[in-house]
Amino acid sequence: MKRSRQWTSIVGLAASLAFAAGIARAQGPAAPAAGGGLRTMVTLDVATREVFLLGRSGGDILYRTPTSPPGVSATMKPDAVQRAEFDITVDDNAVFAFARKRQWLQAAQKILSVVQPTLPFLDLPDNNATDWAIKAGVYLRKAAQTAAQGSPAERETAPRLFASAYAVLNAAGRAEWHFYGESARMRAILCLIDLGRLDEAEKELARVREPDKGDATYGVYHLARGELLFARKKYVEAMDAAIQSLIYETKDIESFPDALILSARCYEELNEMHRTRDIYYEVARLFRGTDWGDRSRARLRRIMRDDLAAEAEETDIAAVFFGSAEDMKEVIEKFLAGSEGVKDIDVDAPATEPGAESKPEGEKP
Amino acid sequence: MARTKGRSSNGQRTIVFLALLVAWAAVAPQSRAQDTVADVRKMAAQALAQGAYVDAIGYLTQLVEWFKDSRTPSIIQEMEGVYFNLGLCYLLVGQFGEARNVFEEYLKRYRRGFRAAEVAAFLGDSHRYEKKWAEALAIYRKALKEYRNEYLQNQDLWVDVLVSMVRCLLAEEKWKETEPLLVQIFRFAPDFHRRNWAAALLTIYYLNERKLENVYRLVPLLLEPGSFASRSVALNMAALQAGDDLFADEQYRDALWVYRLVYPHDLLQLNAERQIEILQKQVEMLQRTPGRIRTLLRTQESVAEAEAELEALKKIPNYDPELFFRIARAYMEIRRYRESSEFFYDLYKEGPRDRAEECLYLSFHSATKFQPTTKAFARGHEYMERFPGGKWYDPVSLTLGQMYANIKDWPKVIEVLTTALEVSPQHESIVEVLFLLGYASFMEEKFEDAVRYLVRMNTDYVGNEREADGHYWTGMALLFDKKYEEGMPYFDRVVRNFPDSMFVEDAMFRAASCAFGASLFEESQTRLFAFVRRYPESKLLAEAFLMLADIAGVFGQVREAVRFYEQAIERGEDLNIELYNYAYFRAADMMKELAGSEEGPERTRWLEAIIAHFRRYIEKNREDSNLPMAIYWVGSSYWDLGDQERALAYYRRAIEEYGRDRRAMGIDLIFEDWVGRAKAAEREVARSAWADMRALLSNALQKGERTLALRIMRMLMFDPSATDVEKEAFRRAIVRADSIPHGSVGVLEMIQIEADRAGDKALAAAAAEEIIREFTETDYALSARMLLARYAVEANDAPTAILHLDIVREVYATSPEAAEALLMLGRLYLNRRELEKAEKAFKDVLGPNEWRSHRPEALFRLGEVAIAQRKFESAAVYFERIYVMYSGHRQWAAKAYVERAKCLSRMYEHRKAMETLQELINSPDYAGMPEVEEAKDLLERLRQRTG
Repeated sequence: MKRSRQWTSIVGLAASLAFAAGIARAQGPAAPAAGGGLRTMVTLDVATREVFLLGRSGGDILYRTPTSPPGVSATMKPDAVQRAEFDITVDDNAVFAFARKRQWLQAAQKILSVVQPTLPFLDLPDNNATDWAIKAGVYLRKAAQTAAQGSPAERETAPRLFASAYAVLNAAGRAEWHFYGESARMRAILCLIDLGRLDEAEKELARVREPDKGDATYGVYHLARGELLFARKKYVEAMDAAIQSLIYETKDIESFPDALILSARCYEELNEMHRTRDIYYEVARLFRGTDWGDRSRARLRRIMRDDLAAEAEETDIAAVFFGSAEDMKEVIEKFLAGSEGVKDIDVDAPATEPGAESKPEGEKP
Repeated sequence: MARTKGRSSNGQRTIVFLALLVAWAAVAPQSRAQDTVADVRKMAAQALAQGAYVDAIGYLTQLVEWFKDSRTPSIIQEMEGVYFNLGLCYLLVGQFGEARNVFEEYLKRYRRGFRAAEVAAFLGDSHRYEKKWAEALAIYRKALKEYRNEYLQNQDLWVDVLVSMVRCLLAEEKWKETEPLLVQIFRFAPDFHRRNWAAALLTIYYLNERKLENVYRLVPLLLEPGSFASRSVALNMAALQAGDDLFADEQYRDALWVYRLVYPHDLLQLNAERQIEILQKQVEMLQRTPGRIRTLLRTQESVAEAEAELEALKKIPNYDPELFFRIARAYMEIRRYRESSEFFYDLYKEGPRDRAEECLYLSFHSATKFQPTTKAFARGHEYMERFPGGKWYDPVSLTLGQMYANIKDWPKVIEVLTTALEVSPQHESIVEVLFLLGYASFMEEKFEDAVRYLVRMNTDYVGNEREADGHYWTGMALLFDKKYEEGMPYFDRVVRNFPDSMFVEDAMFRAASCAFGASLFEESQTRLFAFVRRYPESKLLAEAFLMLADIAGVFGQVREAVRFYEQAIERGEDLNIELYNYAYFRAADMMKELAGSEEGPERTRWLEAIIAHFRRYIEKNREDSNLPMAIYWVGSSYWDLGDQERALAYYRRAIEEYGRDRRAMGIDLIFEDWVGRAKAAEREVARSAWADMRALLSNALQKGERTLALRIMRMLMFDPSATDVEKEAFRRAIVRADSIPHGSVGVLEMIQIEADRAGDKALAAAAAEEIIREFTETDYALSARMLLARYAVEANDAPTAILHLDIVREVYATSPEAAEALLMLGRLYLNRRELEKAEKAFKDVLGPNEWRSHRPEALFRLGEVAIAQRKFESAAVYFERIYVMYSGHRQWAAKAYVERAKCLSRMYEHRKAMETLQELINSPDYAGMPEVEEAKDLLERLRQRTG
């Protein structure tokens, strides 16, 4: 029974990876591996040599040397490897361009078209694909989240995208050597929650190390805890977890705004609508031009339109007297009307190309 | 400041890199005389490919020497690359003057050349690397104009020129001029790093200019992993400064948002170190990748920048504790209390010791602002324990006490505030503390404590804002403590001295109540009349009339009393159900008294008045009204009017109306009264009544109304005309398992008793369990529990027996069954050798006088316990007490003689033992009892033993 479940999970993972690979193939040629494996410069001790990675045999790496006769392969232990440089080149500018335009699926596809063959080998230390794999996983999850809020047809694709994101992030999560390897594993858990596989997510979360404050995983770990608790309708506990995440990890763009939004959702469930409103305003204002900003703005607009936070709050008399009391209603209405201040910076993707504008120095190439 | 240092160091870093190559340049190989042009070309290409720029300079210079004056177009075209590479090699080896000469020559010869735009940029760089900012800027500007179209085709290069220009301007602190350039870089950089770099520099500029809206628009970029912001000392310092200013201006929301941009000191260092490592790897990779010279140079400049940031950071003291404190404070100020509570708590635990107390206080303060209050309670207690007498000890203890008062946890109010007063005798809110202590003590019925606290409050702090409240609650505490005369002056003081107090009306009434309680009925009456006049709309008016009625009763003014009760009843909505019922039933008592004292029509009038009185009561049917009793009154009044038929019919209607509800317990009482009345009625009336009841049964059976049918069948068992066969049929119909779900409590009790009598334990237990489930808090449940306990004892199921017996002794503490329960419990514990528990149970039986009849057994069992404890002397005393004090209980007394003798014998006091036995044998009271025979036998044996 146990073996059968394990087999099912392997098949599931393979299917998800196949979907991710399918996305990648649709976008461009896979890394040249047919018959020959993935060309990699591997450093063992002090020697660096060229090998072609063929796959895994248990935990070992199956490979051949450039001079091996056809069909002959050897194995090596991953922990004997000091460094692995896969023969891959990702067009980072192209990926960046897609990401700027929030074309998450295309950005992920661009990366996976090159990086997909490396996914089974990301545990090799100091390799040059893990960063990309993490990015691809994060982008896939964003694509899935966008799809989940889109048209009915788009919504149908969301579960498969979440599953693909899970597969890629889970593979990246095996890169324990990497600064963000553990974070990737936790983001994979978030995908499980997105997929409604709460028991699995809970088990996985129980397996990961509880991070200390200051660890790179602190924010995402508590975010995952919070999302899980929220999904289980334990709102007070979810709020505590969200707070752990958002007050101690304010520098991780992939957890901080999510934690803020989670806290807003918790405040809403706890019927503290003024705080709900304040946090959506905060996210809308600080994360403009992002998916978080757009979603928060929409929710904020709804809260204001339906007067969900219309009831007056107690005001500190001293603050009123000294004029430091904020009229949040007024502030937010102004913000939603788009007249909150100067706009020297347009954080959205550029609508025009360089040279289309004719301005003084610098602006006129 | 840090940025300036960073930038100059940046230039130096590049120069150091180039200088290493300069040394090699001095020994640049020259081509040999025998080398052909093809050889030199080949060697130059090889040197370039290998990054051997010094070697390449020699070969390329040779080619220039050979072909600089050539007019052949193909040579001229080839020489474009030679000049480009030669200039580049000079630049890379740090010979900027030579590089400039070559690049200028290139531009002279190939003004519109294939790489002219790039060369123009390198020309500017050659000045920049020598810190000739103005010259470099002039060249970059000229290049942007001259090669506009080329740059349009090469966005990467264009952005690079802009970046270089920004570096020149920043070197001279010309921040304002950088803004438009940075905006363009931000918009059009094709890569993450330069866009992010521009975002970080713009943030610094906008922070310094306090253009916060612009800063906020850049936030997502600043939080990207590996962003320039994550290691920029300058940005962090600018944010810190801006945050401080905003905080000082009490713009907490903006302050929070800006503070959150600041990376903690340690993290900043870690990021810088990590970034240097990553960039160095990139440099290595780029050095192995031909053709990306500008990217290589740019990356090296980034390495230099990061190193400079790291150096600058080391000189900055750790700002984290203050930063975190202010962030937490800002959360608190914008009412994000959940966040601030958690943050402050963390600072209390892990932050600097000198602020720990303040942080814990603020964490507590924040936690009081949200639900659930668990954290507030925990942190309040933690503060009180950790910082007794601390700076915020008084407000924390008071708030904690108030919070407990809010949830009406009076013992905790007392506990917290008593401790507070011990720790802080001059508590800053001492009046409030004393008041709360007094009030909580009152609620806990600790009236003496309440009086002590409240009197202290008003004595030591005369004129305090709680004075009126203090007097009122002192009066109340004395009133509830039945110290009526002592209480009265406090209420009077409220009325006299605090006419605006919310308690005046109540105090006036309570003063009258005190007079009543003190049996000063005339004074009470006077006060009540004054109260009624002054507050004709008072909610207390009903109670006032009730008291006036009672006083009239005391004075024997029965008619007056009835009138006042009726006035109280008129305002019955303001009476609680106990007083409401009291008013009705007491008025009825008085009316009956009046009826009893009258004859003829007057008597009839009063009896009819009683009937009308209770009909109103039944009609109103307030929750917890005693309807059966009211029905009883109506029925018995009809009976007293001589209208037996009507009386029984009235009962019958009540039975019909309420008999279907198995939970209407009072109906069972009416059934029983009906039976009594029917038996005492005239023959014809009785016959008709019983017939009526049979018809009702028939009707109920037809309609399937089993509850009513079961009740009637139970009654019909008392019908004098019912045959034994009929009674047995009723009994069988009732005592069945399927009757249990429908049976009223009376029926269930009958099933329980009959089944137990018949030995059907399962059915008896089922009925008992149903009684406990459906009629939990009634006396019926008591006998049910006793039955179940008995069965459990018989089945050796001690836990179940203990469960039921414990409930009986606790819930029905003064009932006779409680004594039985205790005895049974004691016996159980004794059998289980739990001697202390057994001893306690038996001793408890000795307390109440009502349980006197159980004392002999209790004493006897205590003797047994003592024997089990091998305390024979004590056992002998217990046994002796039985036959001395309870000789009327012959069985226990006889046993006690024998057992005492045995104890004495065990203590080798055989003589005394023999005397005891002889006393039993000689007493005629015990003649014929088996214990006497046992005594004779023992005596004989003792005689033999002692000789």
